[in-house]
Amino acid sequence: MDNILEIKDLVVRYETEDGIVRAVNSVNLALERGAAVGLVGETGAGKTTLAKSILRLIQWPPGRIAGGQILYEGKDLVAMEAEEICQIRGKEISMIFQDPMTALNPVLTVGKQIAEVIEAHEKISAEEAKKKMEDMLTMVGIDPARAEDYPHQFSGGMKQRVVIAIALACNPNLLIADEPTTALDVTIQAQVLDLIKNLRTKLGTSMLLITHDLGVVAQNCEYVAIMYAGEIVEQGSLREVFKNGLHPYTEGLFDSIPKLNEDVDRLKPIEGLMPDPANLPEGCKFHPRCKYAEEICQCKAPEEVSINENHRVCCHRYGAEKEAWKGVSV
Amino acid sequence: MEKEKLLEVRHLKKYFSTPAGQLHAVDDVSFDIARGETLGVVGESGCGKSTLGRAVLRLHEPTSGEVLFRGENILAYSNKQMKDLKKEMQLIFQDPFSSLNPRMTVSQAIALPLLIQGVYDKRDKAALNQKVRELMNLVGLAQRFVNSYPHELDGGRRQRIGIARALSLHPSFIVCDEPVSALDVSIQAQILNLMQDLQNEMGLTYMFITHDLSVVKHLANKIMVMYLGTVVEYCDVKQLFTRPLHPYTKALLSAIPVPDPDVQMERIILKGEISSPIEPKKGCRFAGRCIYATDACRGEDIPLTESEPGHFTACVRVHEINAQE
Repeated sequence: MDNILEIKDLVVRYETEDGIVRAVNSVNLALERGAAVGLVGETGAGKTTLAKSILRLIQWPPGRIAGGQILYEGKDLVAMEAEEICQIRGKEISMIFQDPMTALNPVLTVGKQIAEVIEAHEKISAEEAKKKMEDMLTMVGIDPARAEDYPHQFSGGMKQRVVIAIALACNPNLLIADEPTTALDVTIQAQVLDLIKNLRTKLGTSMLLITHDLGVVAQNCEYVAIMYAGEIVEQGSLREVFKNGLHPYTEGLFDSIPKLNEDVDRLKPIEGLMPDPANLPEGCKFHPRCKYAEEICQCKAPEEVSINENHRVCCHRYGAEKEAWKGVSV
Repeated sequence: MEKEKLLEVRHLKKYFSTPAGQLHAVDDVSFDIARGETLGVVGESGCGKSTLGRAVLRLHEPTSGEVLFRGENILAYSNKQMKDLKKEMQLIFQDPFSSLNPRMTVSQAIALPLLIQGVYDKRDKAALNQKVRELMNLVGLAQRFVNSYPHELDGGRRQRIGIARALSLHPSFIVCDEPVSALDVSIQAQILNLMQDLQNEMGLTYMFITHDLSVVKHLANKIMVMYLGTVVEYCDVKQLFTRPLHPYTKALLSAIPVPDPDVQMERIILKGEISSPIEPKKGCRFAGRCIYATDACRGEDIPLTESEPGHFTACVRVHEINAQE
């Protein structure tokens, strides 16, 4: 498979006065060229930390990449010099941030903010950069005449379009979209997702889409990774994970959402809470909330099992370790 | 048999004065809620749904109209009468992070409404503590949190405090203003189940305000869809989801991404964005974004009319549009 990005055994920690926060624990994830992967998880699962570490945006102190590799086109981003990463950031890999209300600089016009990226990465005159900036605005559906306006003069949906224009200004190979539509209303969300989809088809951009909304993933991605307490517990093709989800957490997520196309009298929530990443449980991180938990789950973290070439899961219910364990306890 | 109406709202308006002119937050809204039922109010940000919820409770004093609670117009009530009425009508707030006083413990926060209304005496600590414990049990908060402060608790638990406070005075009617939108899905399901159980046990009537149509579908009996301060569609839940009639409702429903790779929705992508609610032009507020808009939609305000039995819409071309399909 031709992968544009491969994350191997990535570990990210925040070392605070109150202890070590284990935000990302040994994550393996690959992104096929041209495809879109949806990274799904709840607040505090480590999704944003994972995304930021790809661009080396984790701030030290307190955060640091404590181990692992992030291979982009075969080059390890973790080992790269700061100057080198600056060449990649914004040009080859760019990011759409979660909150369009705070992602833009309030004292610069939107036109200036878009042109800034272009000027930083491409050797072109200010004149040409301005021309390209206007093209970008047109592409995301904003009248170029508004380039001289400031962010506060735009609505939420329009600001997110500006953020998208900045992210796509240098035709990146990889786009990391961190909850790009969470702050927006559904009709505007539909507009923005439609825009991202069209631009991706046109430019052939790969995408890592971070969201907590399973619906957004179903309509926009080919692959899914489900993240819980800093680990990817299940990953695979969209159809495999959505139609044949195996991990108890995946099952719980789908049971908790009220669905428009089905009638249920009562939702089945996942009992309990997400563990504190500064104080993770022993064994499988999900075992305190898992209805299938057995003795082995409390003691030993499960290894990733391949169900088929398009589907991998981290759970003792599907591994061979369980049988071996039973032998030990008897 | 007609069910007993607990709340009737007639031609309610709430305008705010701004330097640019009158902001029509709620513009001529009428509806009923029957006892023990749930009315879902949906719409996008800025459509006036929260203002409506607050105007019904007189937290925003309505500009005009009537709010009848058990047949009595509460807008004519004195302050004294209003204070008594608040035992009956309560509110659950949207954001469990900002709606609790950070300097009050869980027990103090839950006890406060009981003390304000004089249901319990401050000196009778034993009885008050007993009641607080009962309420914590009712909403599923473990007793060990009794002396915790809000910052020590997660969103789901904080929202449980908000619910316990609202329930402390045994109200019959609760306005729930986006009670689960700040919560993660697994926690959201816990809170929705709790609210459903409480409704069944205590016979509560809810006005449930949200932007999330799937939540409303799960909980509500009737739905009201709002757009820029006006009601565009009002009917039973089933009718709305099986046969939406108003072009805005159709677009809204089609915009929701379904978490199923086999369902490929025919998306109606709306052009443009919600216009300004300040001094809006007469006519259908949605006309600027509507693909069916004609001159007939502009110039005159469009009243909410019964286009099918029990199914109200505010659209002049509703029959035409739906006959085509």
